[in-house]
Amino acid sequence: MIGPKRVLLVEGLDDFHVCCSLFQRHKVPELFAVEPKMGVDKLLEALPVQLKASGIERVGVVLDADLNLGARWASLRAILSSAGYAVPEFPARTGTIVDEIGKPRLGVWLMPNNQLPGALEDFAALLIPASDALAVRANSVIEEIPAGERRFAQPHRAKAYIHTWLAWQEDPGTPMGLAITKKYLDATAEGAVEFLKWINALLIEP
Amino acid sequence: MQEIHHLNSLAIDNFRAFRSLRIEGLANVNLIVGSNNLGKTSLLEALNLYCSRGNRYAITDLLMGREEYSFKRMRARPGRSLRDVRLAYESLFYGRRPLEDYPRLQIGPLGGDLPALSVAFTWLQQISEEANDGVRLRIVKASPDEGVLDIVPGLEISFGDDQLLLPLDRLDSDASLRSRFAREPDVPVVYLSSEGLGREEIGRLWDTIALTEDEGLVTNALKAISPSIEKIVLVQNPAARGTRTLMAKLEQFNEPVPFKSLGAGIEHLLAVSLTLLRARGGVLLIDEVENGIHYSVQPSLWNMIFKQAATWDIQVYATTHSWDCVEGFQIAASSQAEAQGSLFRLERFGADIRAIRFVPREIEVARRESIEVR
Repeated sequence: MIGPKRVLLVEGLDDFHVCCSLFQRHKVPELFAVEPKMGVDKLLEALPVQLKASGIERVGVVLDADLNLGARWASLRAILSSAGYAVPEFPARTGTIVDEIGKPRLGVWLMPNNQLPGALEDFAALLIPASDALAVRANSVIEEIPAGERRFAQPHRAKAYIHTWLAWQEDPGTPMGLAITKKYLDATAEGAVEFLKWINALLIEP
Repeated sequence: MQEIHHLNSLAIDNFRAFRSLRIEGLANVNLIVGSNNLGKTSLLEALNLYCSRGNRYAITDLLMGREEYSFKRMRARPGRSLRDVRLAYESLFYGRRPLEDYPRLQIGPLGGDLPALSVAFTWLQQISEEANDGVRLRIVKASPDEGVLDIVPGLEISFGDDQLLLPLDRLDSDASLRSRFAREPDVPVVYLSSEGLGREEIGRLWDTIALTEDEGLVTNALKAISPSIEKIVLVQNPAARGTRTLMAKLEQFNEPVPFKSLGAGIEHLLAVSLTLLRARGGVLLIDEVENGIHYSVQPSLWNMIFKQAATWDIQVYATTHSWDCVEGFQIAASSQAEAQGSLFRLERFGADIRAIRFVPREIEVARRESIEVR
């Protein structure tokens, strides 16, 4: 039994499907495995073990920055530092990649773009085609909800937004991954292209 | 604080497959995995040599390619020619370096608070010396360039301040028996080879514990795995004169049954428990610990090892190929009050071999997330 040599760890199934659809649309060679973990805690626990797996060459991690990007980065840095990686103080804008002698190449992408707080849904929102009429409408509809009727907390606004927008597509309620496959979401948007450049440098290039 | 029989780190230089191996985080119980030919057995040999403080019998056994140095150390040895010895001797040093390179190996803990064992090739010469009680023969180092005729190849073995010059043509002689290197180590260092113990060896060990308190300890250890065992006895075999058979009295039968009928696994467990007993206060080295043991019994085997290692102050090192064995190790280790287990994977790293360590919690994560750690 030999495990994969190149692995991309993601938080859950939504992340898994979004990544896989992007890779399919961009014809990314199947040189690595994408592994959904059951949540951020499980992922962070698996990471140091994954870095010591037998025969492992490259490991990528896709995580939500969540509310506090600095705190997320700090906890990740602590884990990676005890695994023997010198991780920069701030995440690189184009995605972080660290090479250590005698260890697998390591990469980290914080959703949505290594700069802003947020999550996968914020990343998906970056793929909504520019000047999309429904995007403007979805935004204003959400803004118009009176405070007393809003059932979601402010941090989930991006979630509310992307799912509102997806509810109004040709096939209403298409999940994010499939929305990329069906081209509702634009896989060539700048946000997606940056992410794919990072994937390519981390997991594909020699 | 490290002690010779309880190491928390190890550095091996120029020994067999290891040019330079560094291991940190050794625990009470250590399991070593890795592909074939990466030196799992060599690691046990290095530990055996070090923990025996370079004992000349441990070295002789290695040089002569014997693996049965478990309990037979003090028995008479058949002669071998120097040619045989030299072949085994070259494999002692990394890269099979020729004698002309004067290779030297070193084994010891990291940090330098304990002495290291070093073994180096040298040329030796026997000289006679005037002494109070007459003429004495003494072995000294010599140089092959000085035109001395009767020099022989040998080893310079040192452990801390102690030194032994061991001529290779006299491995079997008693010339160096007065040396401290000829004494048994202060603490037991027990090696259970991958062949396990023969029936004869099991019988001999059983005799040393029969009717003592230890008999109850071994029987109880086996009961944990096979609860119906009440008692074990060694009896004269009625079919073959002169041989004896281990019999077990089981709860559900009136007559004792042959122990081997309980399965190969339980026999291996008996061997492990007897060797644990033998290793009290010392070191136990087990090659291919999973031998013949059904996967369902692996956690029980490891529970026994963890429990006895803690009770009897034994540091255990075992090798395995089996994932079931790693799982059993993890399950037993996780149920211990303190983290007392370390798993090490030996793997190639460039031209070297290195050891990657996993604590029990990490093995549990690997199991849950299907990450291959072997």
